[in-house]
Amino acid sequence: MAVQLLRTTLLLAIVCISYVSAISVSGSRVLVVLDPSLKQEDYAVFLSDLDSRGLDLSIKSANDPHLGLFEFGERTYDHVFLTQPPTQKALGPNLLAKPLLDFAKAGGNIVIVLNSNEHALASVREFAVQLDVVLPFRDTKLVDHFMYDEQASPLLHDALILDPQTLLAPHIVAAPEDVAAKLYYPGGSAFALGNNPLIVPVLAAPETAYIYDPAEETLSSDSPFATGKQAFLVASLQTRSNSRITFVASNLLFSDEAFSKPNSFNRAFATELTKWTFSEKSVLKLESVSHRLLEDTNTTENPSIYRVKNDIAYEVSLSQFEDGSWFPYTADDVQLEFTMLDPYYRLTLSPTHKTSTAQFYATTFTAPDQHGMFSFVLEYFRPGLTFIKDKRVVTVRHFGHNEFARSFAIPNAWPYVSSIVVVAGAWVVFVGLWLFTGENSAKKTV
Amino acid sequence: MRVFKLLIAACVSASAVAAWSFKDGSLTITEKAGTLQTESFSVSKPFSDPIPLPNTATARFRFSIESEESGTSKPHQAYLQISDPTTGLETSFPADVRDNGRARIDVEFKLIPKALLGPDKTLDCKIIIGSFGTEKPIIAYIGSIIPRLKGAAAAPSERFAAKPEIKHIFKPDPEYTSESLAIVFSAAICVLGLLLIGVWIYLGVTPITFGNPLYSLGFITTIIVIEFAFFQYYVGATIFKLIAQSAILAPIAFLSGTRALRDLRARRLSSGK
Repeated sequence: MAVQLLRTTLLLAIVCISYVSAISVSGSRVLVVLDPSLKQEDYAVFLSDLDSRGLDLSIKSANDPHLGLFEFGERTYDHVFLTQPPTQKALGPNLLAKPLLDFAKAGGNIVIVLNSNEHALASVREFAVQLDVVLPFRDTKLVDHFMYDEQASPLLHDALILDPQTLLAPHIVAAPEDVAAKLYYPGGSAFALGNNPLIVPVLAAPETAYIYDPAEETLSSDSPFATGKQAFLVASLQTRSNSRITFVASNLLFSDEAFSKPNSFNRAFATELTKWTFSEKSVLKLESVSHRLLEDTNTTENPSIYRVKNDIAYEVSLSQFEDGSWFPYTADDVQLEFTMLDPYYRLTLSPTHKTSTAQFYATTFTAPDQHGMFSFVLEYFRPGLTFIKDKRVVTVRHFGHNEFARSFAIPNAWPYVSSIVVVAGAWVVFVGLWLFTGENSAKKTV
Repeated sequence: MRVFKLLIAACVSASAVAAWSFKDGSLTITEKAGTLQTESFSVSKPFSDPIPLPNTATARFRFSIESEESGTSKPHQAYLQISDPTTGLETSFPADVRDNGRARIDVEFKLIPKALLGPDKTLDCKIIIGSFGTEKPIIAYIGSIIPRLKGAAAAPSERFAAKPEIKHIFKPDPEYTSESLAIVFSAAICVLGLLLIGVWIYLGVTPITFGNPLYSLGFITTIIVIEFAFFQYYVGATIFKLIAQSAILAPIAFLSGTRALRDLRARRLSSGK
């Protein structure tokens, strides 16, 4: 009986684990570093949304002595949600720039939420600068005299109402179908972005907004930190190893108050943004890669050698992770490069057939008339989607001595070939004449 | 109900809420040598043609900010925004505003970000005035400038997207002469061969009678078979087959050849007597 109970419990545990791990491709352990200044009940809806998705939340304070991103060199969490204290104090040695970078390098995902009052600490600022995200100066404010929230800040103009139709990254957060939906930005600053191609801006400030320093620019803004659409409220970054990092300019964006405003899109925005960052959506996987000679369907797949001017068929299949399972990923911009130092071909693959989990793409081409070591390179780097890179090296050999056109097929060679035939024939005739003609010696001797 | 609310809001903003504005706008393009061009603009009337800005010049914008609210004519935000309508990139220049509302913005060519510059690119200029409180802000298009960039534009930043397709261009196939020309020459060569044989026959062919023609027949047959083996190799047989055939045929040719030629020599010597 006890054994049976144990077995059932184990089975249940396994089912639970497999269910939980299917939420995100990287795992479900989330560390929420909640600063004591932020009350958990002000963010109850956001946190319960995370919890109800099956994520395993550990809500801790930065002062917690047991807080650590690594244990014995292994990640202790899969994702980190990091808020900032309102005053300038350190987050502790475990959340410095280096541990955070190491965490991202080890495949962990990070959401960094700046405090609406003070914004960023030196350690977080250092971390951001390494990723080409320039956080604002202390105490700066984002204001817009055109699109402010008339109820929330009639005079200071620092609470903004944004149009979610202007969202910049459809693979991260798609614009809502409801055009009346509004995104409430209840105050805070914004940051500037460098020219790093890995950065995907998600939400930019309106054209007329600007960031000013209330302490320095009391009367007029003469040296704004950033203006207009060059100031960003939310931006994401995906490293080349597919770790995801998101910067959010204000913690108030996720507050219950912002969620409960009329026509608020904030809740869906927070859900989609954390889903993306925690690798729960827009995750791609290369299911299969194959290449072979076009005319010869019986040859083994992926041979290591081809000849120049061979016709080659190439096929890949891609899957996309969404809501806990894999689906076919269909696009019209998947490209194959056939390279030796430089690409000799760059071909857009066309979708062919699909299975329940994967979409197949194929193309055919003629190997270039250049022998050497070539690679089939599939590099699918698109903002907001997992970076996919596959490289297969093959030899392309030149023609064998018996693979060139024969001389009888070349008109230029016909005079030469006929000369040889005539000489050989004439020689045989000559030998015949030499052997079998002459004066008949028998008659003479008689 | 909503329409009603909107109407009320419109009435309120039209009647009670004061608004920012500006007047006496002028743009002067100056170089070290002096003034190149002066244009005037206002809220409702932008300058008509895009104004060229040479790469050594400065665009000096001057205007007077007005407020319908009494007491102040110094807004918190008074910017000139320069934007590229094709890429959507933009930059802002804050104005230096005096207490009486006179605002000046000097845009040196070198202060315009490289990303906005390109050969004969037209940039839109807008003036944005706004401040805290209830006073209505204003954003007004005042015209376009064309910064004259010398040299190449900045390379576009790397962004992940589909790249243009590349198709390998093959070297041209070798060119051949026309078949008819080749046939004419080949035919000429064949005719020459036939002519040679014809001449031999014309000179006189007297068959001889042998006591024992076995060796001579064997020799000529071996030669013909060797020629046939070479022909097979030319058409496609492997060289190993040719070597094997030659290994058999060569001794036969040698043995029969020595006998046949010995007979021939004996015959020739006897006939020469």
